[in-house]
Amino acid sequence: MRAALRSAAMQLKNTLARQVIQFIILIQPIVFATLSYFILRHRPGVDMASYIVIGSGLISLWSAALFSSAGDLDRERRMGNFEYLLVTPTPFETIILGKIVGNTLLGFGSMAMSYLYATLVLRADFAVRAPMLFVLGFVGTLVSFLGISLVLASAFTLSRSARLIVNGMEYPIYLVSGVMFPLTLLPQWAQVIGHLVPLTWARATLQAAAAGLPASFWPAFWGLLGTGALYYLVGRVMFDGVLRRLRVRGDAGVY
Amino acid sequence: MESAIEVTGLLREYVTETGFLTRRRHEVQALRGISFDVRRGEIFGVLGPNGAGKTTLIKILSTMLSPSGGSARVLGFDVHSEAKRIRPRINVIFGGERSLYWRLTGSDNMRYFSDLYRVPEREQRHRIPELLELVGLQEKADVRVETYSKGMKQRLQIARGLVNRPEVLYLDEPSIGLDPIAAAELRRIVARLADQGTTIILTTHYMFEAEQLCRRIAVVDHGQIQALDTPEGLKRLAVGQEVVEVEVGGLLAGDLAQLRALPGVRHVAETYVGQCLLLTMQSDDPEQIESVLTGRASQYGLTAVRRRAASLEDAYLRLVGEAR
Ligand SMILES: Nc1ncnc2c1ncn2[C@@H]1O[C@H](COP(=O)(O)OP(=O)(O)OP(=O)(O)O)[C@@H](O)[C@H]1O
Ligand SMILES: [Mg+2]
Repeated sequence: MRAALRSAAMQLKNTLARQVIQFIILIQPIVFATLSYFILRHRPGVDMASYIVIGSGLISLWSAALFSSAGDLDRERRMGNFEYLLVTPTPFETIILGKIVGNTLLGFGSMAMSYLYATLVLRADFAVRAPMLFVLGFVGTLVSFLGISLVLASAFTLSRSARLIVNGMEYPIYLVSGVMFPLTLLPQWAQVIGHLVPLTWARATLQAAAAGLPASFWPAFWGLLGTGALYYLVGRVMFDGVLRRLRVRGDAGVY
Repeated sequence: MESAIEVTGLLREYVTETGFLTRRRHEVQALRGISFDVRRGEIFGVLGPNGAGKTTLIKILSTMLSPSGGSARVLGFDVHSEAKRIRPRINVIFGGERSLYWRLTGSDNMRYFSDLYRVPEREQRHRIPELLELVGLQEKADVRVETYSKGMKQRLQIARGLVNRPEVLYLDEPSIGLDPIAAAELRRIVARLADQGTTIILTTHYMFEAEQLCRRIAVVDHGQIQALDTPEGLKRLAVGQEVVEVEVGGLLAGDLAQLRALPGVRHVAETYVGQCLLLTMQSDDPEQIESVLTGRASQYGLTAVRRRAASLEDAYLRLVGEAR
């Protein structure tokens, strides 16, 4: 447990020391909020404020949690720490979870940034009508993102090309999860795919809480936890296999 | 005394694939059946040329890699199936500057790894400063590692490898990049750890280091043990007691061949020392070779002929040279 916390703290410290990260935390939310603003400006019947704040906030959180975790694994490899981490008495999954938590906390900063930008600069009229549900939904979001981060981290651990594939999926995922504009603008099949992504459920959960609609909050919330738990289980199983393969193939030290 | 490490018929191959459309498989036999035992508290040396399989061996024994065949047991546990039992009780130090968090300070690095090795906070508080002092980094403890010199990073690696007071410690070329004083200091640390009961496997390219520290040495080449003995035993086995050293400005190929063909000469190693060629001749009767060569010194233009006690390096050159 302490190892996981230290891992998270280390992650924060180590990451904040990188200027490119400081840039991403501050700038990315602004870019996405601005984009949403222009996409949605003239659409009637869409709660623009909710899309801008929740949508771009979630994008920041999501990319912090997932993509920086993946990048970190790459960096560990290049720095030659990877092999050491594999053979400490602390399970590698614990170390990775610590890192993901650390990155998610960074994502918080990003989310706060997009809220400030949207309300102060874009003058979005954002209000949360069911604050308790919103907080609950938010916690659910974090837990659920951990699950899918674990899956991606194990894929990245195994294969260096997984990174390219997942990077390529970053934007399509934003589209199908409805964080940039409403899902109803998408064809049916894309909406179906969207429901496999925790980001979609997180968005629906938080939007329902913001709008004060418990009836649409709960199904989305359970969907969020359900997908998150599913990915978490898959991630654990994958990790065991991945670590075994790594020792057999012997490429933990190559990059 | 019981063995800390038992290796039997250890095999390891690497399979790599290149090409995208037409995948080609390459197989490298890094270890081809290695067997040895290391007793508790022993310092066991592994010498061998680049690519011999030393690092591969260390990685298997430290549970980073699985064997492809044979078995290896550390502290009574199998490295493949019981790795979790082994990990808390061992540690490994690789030479070089990699594998540290450069953006963090020395003590941050130490704290992180102490946590990963589950060293209780209370113990960390005195152990970390102690270890940093042991490697002479106490003044750099709170400075980011990226500002360390190469040797300082290497020293931090050494301190890091000791956070869990390992019962078995692997050192893979640990003195790379260390200045002579730091290298001597490292030898002192290693010797003291062994005195306290730590079992150590050391790979190195410095014969002197191996000779000074190791009770027994395995000379590995092409993934196999060519010889395994005490440093003295290796010297006797490979070269006898004495060698003849010859200095010469330059030598015609024909003359060199004649020297090699002298009766009783078993092996001639050539090294260049500046402009000068240095021949190290191993023979059945060094005394006689010396007198023959002294007699023909002017014929071949030899500037010096002398006899000296055989060194581990002589033995190594012979063992590894012969296998090639
Ligand atoms: N990850 C890998 N993938 C493929 N082949 C590898 C890998 N690691 C090592 N090898 C090969 O295995 C053999 C043994 O390598 P190893 O690193 O164990 O040698 P070494 O004795 O440590 O050499 P050095 O003195 O240069 O450190 C070499 O032929 C090397 O090319
Ligand atoms: Mg090596």
